[in-house]
Amino acid sequence: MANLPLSNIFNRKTRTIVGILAVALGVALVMVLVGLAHGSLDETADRLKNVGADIVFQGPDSSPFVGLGSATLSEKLGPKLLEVPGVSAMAPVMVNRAMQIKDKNKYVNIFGIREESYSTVGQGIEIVSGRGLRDPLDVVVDTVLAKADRILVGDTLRLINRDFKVSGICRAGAGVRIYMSLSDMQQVTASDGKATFFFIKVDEDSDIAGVAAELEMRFEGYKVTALEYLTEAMKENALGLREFVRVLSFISALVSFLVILLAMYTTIIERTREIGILKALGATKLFIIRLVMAESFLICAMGVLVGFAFSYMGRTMVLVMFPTLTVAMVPRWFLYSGLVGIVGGLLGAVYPAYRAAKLDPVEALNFE
Amino acid sequence: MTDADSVLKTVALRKNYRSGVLEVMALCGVNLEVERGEFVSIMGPSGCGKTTLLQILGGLARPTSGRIYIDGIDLTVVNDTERTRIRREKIGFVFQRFNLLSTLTVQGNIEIARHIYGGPPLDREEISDLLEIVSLRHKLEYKPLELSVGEQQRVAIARALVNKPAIILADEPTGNLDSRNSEQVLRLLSDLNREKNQTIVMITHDSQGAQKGSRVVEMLDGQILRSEATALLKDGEESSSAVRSL
Repeated sequence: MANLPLSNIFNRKTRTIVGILAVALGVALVMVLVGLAHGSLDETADRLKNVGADIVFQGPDSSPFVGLGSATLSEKLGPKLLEVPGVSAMAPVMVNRAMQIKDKNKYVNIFGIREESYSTVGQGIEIVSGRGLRDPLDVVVDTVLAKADRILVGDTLRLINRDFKVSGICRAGAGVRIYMSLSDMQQVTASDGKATFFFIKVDEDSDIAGVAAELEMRFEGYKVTALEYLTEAMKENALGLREFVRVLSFISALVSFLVILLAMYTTIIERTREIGILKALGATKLFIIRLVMAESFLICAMGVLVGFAFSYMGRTMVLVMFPTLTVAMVPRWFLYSGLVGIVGGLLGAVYPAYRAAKLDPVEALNFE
Repeated sequence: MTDADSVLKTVALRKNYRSGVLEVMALCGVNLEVERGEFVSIMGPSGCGKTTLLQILGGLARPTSGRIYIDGIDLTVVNDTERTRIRREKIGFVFQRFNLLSTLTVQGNIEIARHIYGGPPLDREEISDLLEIVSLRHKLEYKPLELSVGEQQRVAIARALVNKPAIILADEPTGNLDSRNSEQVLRLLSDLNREKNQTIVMITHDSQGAQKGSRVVEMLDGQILRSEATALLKDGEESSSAVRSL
């Protein structure tokens, strides 16, 4: 069967390539930026989960983003937490942020911990070179940050307006990228006896949800989050994430819409005579509309596929350029971004298709 | 209604165009009747309304007033969709500029006509048979621009035949051809008319070519001046009094 849409696509290569690239860029934009947003959240949540604790205990009205919390809890709460049935261990953690690493602007969370309690709630910090936090003003950085910023054991890092010595490199994948002792952080920030949150470990025989419920009851108003639900809690509380994703999807759809509108509109003008021929052969308006829409669909579909390939290329580029970032290729977003590209493009083809269908056959046949 | 043997009939056909503030009368009461199996050549100077008449006969344009019957159906009272259907089922067009779809092969150009018609797809053998009629069986996979102009016009004729139309409307089919190709195309149309009893209405400037038909209709200023059987017909088919009074 003569496939006019397909033959038009291959015979109008420049138009086709421009259309495909535009749709592909829109799709890749959505995939990479959404992947970046989800990836960062997932990775942060995963690293917290990988600490090995079961529950995060925070002060009232705290964000699930533990890195955004303030040191509002008293360390003295710790022994009281241990009194709750089912709680086997707790570790106070204070959070602060490094805004610069080796003179480069960065945003990296720092945990102030007591190594002995921190290791009771999980597997602790796994040192791969150097040693742990032994002396005052020691810091441990993880392998990803060490690699990204070429940090070596013995280097000096200026953090929270104070010089720290890198005493060791730990395995990445759990907690944060920089650790210092809780005492140092309390001293540097003038927050003696304070913590941002507590990691809690639950007895093997106890039910995490039950212990969390007991904690909520005993410490009314405090925020208790089981770590297995942290990802969802973070996504729900990620201010503007949904809006960001919607705006991004809209922009992508708009790009597809405008490019396909322009491409198909110019195509229709260029092919006025061809449409006249089809009408002379007895083609109905519906036939012409289907023809234009089919051609647009093929361009969009190819654009979506190329867009997926671009997404992986973009992800690789981001990871090479910014090793501390994570881009998650979220499976359902392949569907969403694909739909955005195709629906946006098809909407863009509606007006040109309508115009083509309305063309007067005599005028179309006389078109030069 | 129209006569049983008449495949095409117009009654008092008028077409006015507006050109700025001026009203141009392209057709002024054209009465024409074409019998099944006739080959009518329409001649006349440029601007006499030949092409307008052909466009209206083919349902591509609407007349200002008057009636057109194609196979007994009044084209002037049907809606656009119905007019399109009649054009698809009853009429095959052959244009001066061939009007083949340049992105499709010869086979594709034939197939698309059948696709629009809506009948069962043609197999390769049927397409080859069709192209055999125009002696282009070997050019199945060629694209229009890879063919000579004469070959392109022969493909256009094959395309017009795909759906076995009641009538072929040819708008100066030799207008862009050299004398050798013109002769080939005219002979082809003449053969189709004679051997397959295909009704053809052809617009031409070429008075010699017009003689290939069975009747010549002369137009001037939007009217039919005269209509008479060609020498060919007079010599060969005395019994067929094809002259139509207007």
